[in-house]
Order: sequence, then C-alpha cells, then structure tokens
Amino acid sequence: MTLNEPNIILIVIDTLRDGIINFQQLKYDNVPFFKDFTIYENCIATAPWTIPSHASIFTGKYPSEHGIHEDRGHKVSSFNLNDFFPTKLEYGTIFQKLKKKGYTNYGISRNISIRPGTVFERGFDVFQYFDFPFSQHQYSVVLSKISEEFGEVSKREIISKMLKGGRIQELVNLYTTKRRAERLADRFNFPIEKGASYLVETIKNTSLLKPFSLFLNVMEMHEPYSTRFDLYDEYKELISNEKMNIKKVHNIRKEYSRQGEQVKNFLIAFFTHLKEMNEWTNSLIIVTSDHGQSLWENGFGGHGTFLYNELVKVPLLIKYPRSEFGRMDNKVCSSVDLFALIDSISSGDTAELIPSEVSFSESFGVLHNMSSALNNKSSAERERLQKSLESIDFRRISAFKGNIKLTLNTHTGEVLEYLENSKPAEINFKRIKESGIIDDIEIFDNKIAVPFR
Amino acid sequence: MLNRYGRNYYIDLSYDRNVDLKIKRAESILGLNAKIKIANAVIEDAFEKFKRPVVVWSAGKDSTVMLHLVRNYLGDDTQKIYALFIDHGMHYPETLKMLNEVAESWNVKVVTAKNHDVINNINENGDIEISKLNAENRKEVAILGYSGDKFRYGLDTEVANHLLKTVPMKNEILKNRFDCAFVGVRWDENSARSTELFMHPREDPPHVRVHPILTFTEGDIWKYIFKFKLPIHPLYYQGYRSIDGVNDSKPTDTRPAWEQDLVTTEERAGRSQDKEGIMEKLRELGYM
Repeated sequence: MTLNEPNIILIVIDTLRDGIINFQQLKYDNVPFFKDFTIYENCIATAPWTIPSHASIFTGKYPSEHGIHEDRGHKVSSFNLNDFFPTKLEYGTIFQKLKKKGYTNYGISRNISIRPGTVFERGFDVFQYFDFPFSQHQYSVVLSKISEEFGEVSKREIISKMLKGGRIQELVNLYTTKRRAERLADRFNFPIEKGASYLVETIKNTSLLKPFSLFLNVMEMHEPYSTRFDLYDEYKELISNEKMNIKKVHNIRKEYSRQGEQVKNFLIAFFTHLKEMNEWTNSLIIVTSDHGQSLWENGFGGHGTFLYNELVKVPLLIKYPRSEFGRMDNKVCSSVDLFALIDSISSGDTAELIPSEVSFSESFGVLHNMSSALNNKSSAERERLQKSLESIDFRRISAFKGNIKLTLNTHTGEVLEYLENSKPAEINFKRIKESGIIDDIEIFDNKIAVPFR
Repeated sequence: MLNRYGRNYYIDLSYDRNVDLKIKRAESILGLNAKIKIANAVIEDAFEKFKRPVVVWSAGKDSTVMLHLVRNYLGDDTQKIYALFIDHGMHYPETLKMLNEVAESWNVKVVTAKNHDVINNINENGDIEISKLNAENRKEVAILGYSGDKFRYGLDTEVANHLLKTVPMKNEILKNRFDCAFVGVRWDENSARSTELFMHPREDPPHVRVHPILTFTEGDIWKYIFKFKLPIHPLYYQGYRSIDGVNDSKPTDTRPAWEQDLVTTEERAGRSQDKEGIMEKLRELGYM
C-alpha cells in the first residue's frame, strides 16, 4: 500500500431518482467537475428502499442473496425502524475489504438506518451518524408515541382526545416540543436543508489519513418536504377509491425537484473542497442513489413495495482516478456492480465498471406496516383496506436487459410491467425470447413462476 | 494399504500393481452404493447451502454421472437444472449431439461458456495473436505469465486452455451469479486432482466448487452408467476413455472404454500429455 493508491469516495444521495438532476446537461455544458464523470444512464437499484439497497452496494449481493429485506411478516412501521436495523450479514462489506488493503475508512451518514450499531458500520474506522436538525428526532419520537396511540389522525382529533382524557400537562409538553422543533427547523432551513452543508463542514474539519475511503449518505431528497403526506397517503390511491389531492401532489413534485438543486449545490461544494485539498485527481468518486421516489405516477407515493422505474432507476456517475473526461454509457448496470469496481480500483487496477448484462430489482411485498395508518378508520373500512393491501402484498422481481424491462409476480408469473425503452409496450414474445431474459430470471431464482415457457 | 480399521484413505497402488502410486488416491475398496451415498450427502448439503447451483457438464462420462446424481436428488422437474458447458470450439460433433439430446430429455438448461474473442481471432495459420485480443483476455495472458506474442489454437498449451476453458467458465459463473458449481472430478484421474476437497471455495469469482464423485474410480463410473442405463457418448464405444477436443483426444484401445484395463493403464493417456502436465497450474488459475 502506497500513498498513490486512489482514494475511494462513495456518495449515496438517498432517494434521488434518475432524471431529477440533469447530470447529462451539466456534463455537456462542461460544468466544472461534472465533465470528468462517466455517466451511466441505466443504473438499476437492487431494491426500492434504503436498507436492502445499501446492503447490496456494500456487499455486491442482491437482496435475495444477502437476505436483508422486508417480507410478508416483516415490515416497517411508520415511525419505528427498530426492527429493521440489521445486525446480521453473512457477506463482507467493501469497507471491510478496503480496510484489509490498508485504507482508512470514514463514513458520515444522515440516514438513521445506515448508522453505527448496524451491520453497515463494518470496516469503518470512523462512522458518524447525525440527526438534523437535532430536535427533529426528539419530536419524531413524541409523534411516534402519539401515532401508536391514536393512529394517523388529525391534530384536532388528538387534541380533543387528550383534553377529554384530562392530559393537559402532556399536551403542553407536546406543544412545547413541537414549537422548539419548529423554531430549530426554521433556523436550519429544514426540511429544505437536511444536513448536507453540515456534512461538507464536517469533512472540511476532518483530517483524512491517506489512502482513505469516504462514504456519505445525503438525505436532502428524502421526505419530509414542506408539503406533508403521511403513510396512508402513500397507498391510498391503490387501496381505496380516494384520489390524492392534485394540488398536493403537484406541490410535492415541485418540492422534490427543488431538493435536487440542494443536492447539486452540495456536490459542487464537496467537489470544490476535494479539489482544494488536491484529492480530486487521485480519487475514484462514485455518486449514486439507493432508490428513487414515486410521486403518484403509478398511484403510489414514497418508496418501497413497487419496482416502477421512478423507484429503481437511479443516477450513477463515476469519476475514475486520473481521468479528466468521462463519457456517457447507456448499458444496463446494477448497483451490485460497484463492489467489484471498488475492489479492483483499490487494488491498483485501472479497470472501469463492468456492467451486468442483466440487472435485477427485488421487492418482497408491501414494505410498510399499515396498522397505525388505518387506526382511525371504521372496522369495516379497515377490513376492506387491509384486503386491498393484501392483494398487492407479494414478491416482485424486475429484470432489465438491453432495452427491455420485465416485472413479474414471482408467485404467479403474472407480468406486472413490460417496458421497451422505458415505455410500456405490447408484450413482444419474440423479442423476449431472443433477449434470453427469461433464462436470466430462471437462473436468478429457479423457484420463480416464469411465464412464456 | 489398509489401516487397522479397514479404511483406505491412501492406497499404495505400486504395492501390488505397476502404477505410479503418487497420482492415485483411489477408493477402490469402498463399494459403489457407499460412494453414491457419499455423493448424495454432498449434493444435499450443497443444495441446502447454496442458492444458485450449476453443474459443469461436458457430456463426458463423469460429468454425466454427476448430472444424473443431481437430477435424482432433485427428484422431479420443478426445479430446473442448469448446466455449464465449456465450448472451446473443438468439440466432436457427437459431443454436441449428445449434449442437446440429454439436455432435452432430462430438462437441463445448458448455459454455454465460450471465449468468442479468442475464437474470432484465429488466423489462417491456426494461431491467435495476443495483441488482437481484447483487454480482458490480454490481462489473463499477463496473469498467466505467458510472454509469447501468439499461441496455437488447441488444447495442448497452458495459455490456450486458460483462455478457452477457464476464462469463459469464470465469466459465466460471475455473470450468472452461480454460487456453487458441481464438478465431476475424481481423485484417481490426475495427481493434481488427487487432493481435491468435497467443497472447495474459490475467490475469482467467489463461488464454491462442489465435487460429489471424488471417491468414484473410473470403473465405478462405468458401473453406475450401466446400472442406471445412462446415455453413453458414442466415442467411448470406439476406444476413447477420456474425451475433449478433436485434436486433443485419441482412442487408447480398439475395445470400448469399459472393456479396457481400467486399473493398470492410464485413463487420460489419450489426452494431450502436455496439458496433463500443466494441470496443477491450470487448476490454480481456476480450472477444474
């Protein structure tokens, strides 16, 4: 190991879907930094939410291989992620591998799921998680307790129920906590700013021992946005006859795009710092995301559960060490491919990313435990909504190959989505056969119900 | 030689037969049924441990026995068997015919591993110039430490074997994310294989080689084939005992393989002997 080994920088912009930041345009316009990146236009995340997808990036394994994922009986509650902090992982992470090669590994994460105390800390010399703004966490703990007790009901109903129960002191405490959180949020420009600028400052104040690896998780694209939507909103178009308020959806979409600007500014600030520190040239820099965000394009908002392109197509930009001009690459690739790339470049190889010919994305059913979100419904209504939820609670798999995307219900073999060039198309049996995508799916999971045999 | 418990881990064949003892580790006393049980136990354990297995299958006698054992273990056709066939471009037409026929009747899906870059670059003299190969192949040549600027298209050299067999095999394992490869090697075939393990983890790419029929001797293989009425490659009737490329394999006798002296003569005598000598190094680089 010498000081000439390239530094490895992996930036995960949490919840950034493809196309929100026009990296291609930034590259064509020769915007500083971005011209150096090779842009992979068809990168597929292995899962539509944080934990399985990060586990894939860290291990080079798909969720069905590393085993950290939701399931029919294992779901995420709206405010309680405790069950989902994975502590078991049978594969080594890329940071463990880098450690063995003599790298000093630093991780800074804003995502509560990717933090010290979970399997994701493995291999890091320094791994820091920070909540932002700091009072928000305290407030969300209180909200979580309220949610468990009352369900996701209106503020007015909560106040009324608490008053009727004579819980005046509790109500005052809640109000005080809320006001404190709001004042701090205003001060830090939350939720537009979710800590990215603090993250840059932290790095500026950190002396990095070379060769180093640096993992960053940036949460600017993740909800909350200024317009609030709750867990029930995410699923309501799919499980009930209710439609999302169009104005609300429009606002959320606008706010999501605006967050893209925040991310762009963060990247420029961070890259500027790297350049000033003379760490730009000799670094492998990867910018990607763990999953995208649905904004009711297919009746669903948020992330998890489904495998629509807005959820699993993610940006991937790679600046190779000592490379001054990147290119565009439209081959299908997967976030699992990053493991081998980091491994070979950290071994002094000049290799580029070797894209998988076929990429998969996996969902193991409805991600969320909706019981608290349905608490305020009548029992008949709750039963009806639960039934609707169960009808979408099954394992899905998407395979991407060439210009084809095929999404299947793995139990029935039903084709849920067939796309050519990212657009819905009539199922073309000849093209499917010629592509070999069915064989690929069968090899990937030989217990799957595969159509078109 | 047996120890006092009647076990024969290492049999010194030169004791009673004039055969090079160093290359033999034959379980010749253990009965076929016991060997089948051992093979089944290994297969069962592999299916419990691994998610995406593949059987490396050449349509030769050993790998066909192994494929049959795997098929028997699975019991029905609900789980498709994937077989990895290494196509170096020099197979006998009979091999390809048997491959297709057996694959169809046994419901086996064949994944072909072929180094198209090497095969597309054979010049009129039957040579391949290294400089014309793609970066990946050039890198593999460098790893091998080969310093020539070309090599002959055949299976008798280290470099050709590595590029035509090992490299495409490793690529297919990587591409298809196979986590376990069943390989039909046997202890008594070649000295380089005589110390092989039932399960042998490999790093490049990460997967585990599973060897269920290590204990089988050549005679056991034929006993198994006749016992279970397995299809037989036609060249075995013509005196071949080990089959690979058209220029690499020769009959060792005029009698069918199973009628030849399987004990005191060499099974792989009809194979290119240069290759036999480099087996150790090929295996280090990922060969079976």
